[in-house]
Amino acid sequence: MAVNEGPGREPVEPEDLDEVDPLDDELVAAGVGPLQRATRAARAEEPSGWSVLADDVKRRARTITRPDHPVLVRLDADGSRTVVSSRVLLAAVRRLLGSAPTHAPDDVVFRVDDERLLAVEVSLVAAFGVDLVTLAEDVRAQVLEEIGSIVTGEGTDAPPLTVDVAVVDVVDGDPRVL
Amino acid sequence: MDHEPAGADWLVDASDEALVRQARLGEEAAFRVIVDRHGPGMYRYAIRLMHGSNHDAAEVTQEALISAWKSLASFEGRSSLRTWLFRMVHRRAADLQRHRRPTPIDDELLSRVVRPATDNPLQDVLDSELLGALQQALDELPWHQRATWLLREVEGLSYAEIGEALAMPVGSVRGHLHRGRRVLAERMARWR
Repeated sequence: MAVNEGPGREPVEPEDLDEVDPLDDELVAAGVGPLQRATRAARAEEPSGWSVLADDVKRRARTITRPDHPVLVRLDADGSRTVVSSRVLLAAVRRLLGSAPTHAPDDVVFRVDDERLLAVEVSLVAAFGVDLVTLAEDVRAQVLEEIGSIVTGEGTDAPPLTVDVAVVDVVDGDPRVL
Repeated sequence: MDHEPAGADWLVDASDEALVRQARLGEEAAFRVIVDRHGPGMYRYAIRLMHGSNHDAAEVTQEALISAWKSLASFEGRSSLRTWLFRMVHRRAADLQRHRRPTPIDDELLSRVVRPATDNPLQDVLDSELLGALQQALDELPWHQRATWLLREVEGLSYAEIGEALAMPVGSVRGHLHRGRRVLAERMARWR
């Protein structure tokens, strides 16, 4: 139920009552009408130049590279090395874990030591009702397969890759959009 | 993708929380939606706060959004994304204000009671004229009064959210807003 209605006033919902300034009546008498009209106009205002500014921001964002680690993919007998950026691995895992409505990635951490990928730590948000143990097992297997297809470890002395999965939140619906 | 939500633009309907999760993992498309969703309010706030200067407002809004993109990993969700973004734009506006206009900000200095004008120039004013008058009145408000009024009355933040955005206790928000409302109402009274 809206209250505090009257000329020149917006309805105030009950939960906002503690935020009604006690000066309101005095302000109305002092000429809050024009201020109300100006406030409404200000709320509706679409600032000029926004679309150009938004394009600039998005363009700049694309040029910003985030911190990453080189990960050794393979080492040839002649000493040639192939490395991949951890950003490439992150993009692969992000795509992989964003393909089902049962879960979404919250965080992905790559543990790298001397260019050797040791572990992938995946934090997930799951949909309510999903069997979390089964989900964790499935995600672990998928991540191992995906990363293993990129980081073959051929010719290197990298230890077997481990994947740790933690479910950090559960939401009622598709966690990719909630 | 196997089970992508319906529609090519499904990110547009994603919650702020979902967008933050994806943007934090480097998903640029999620960040672009954040920009489109919250950028106009940030820019509008910056313009009014920075004396109507689109140039200054564009600078602080851009810096705030780029900084957000770089530091999303540190966003812990203690406040809403919107509040966090307003805090970033406010900080940059304050920095710019300090560097360009080194006049000390004294909230009491300009808190004088302004006598209502006795003339009655127009009944049906155009929005643009009203907005011009509002900007003039805002320009005379002390910094914190202007900021709290804009965030509450134009952007619709709660007192608690304003406190988060401006790093001040709710009691101070209430005080600044109270004084700002009074001065603005008196200033605008001539437009009755």
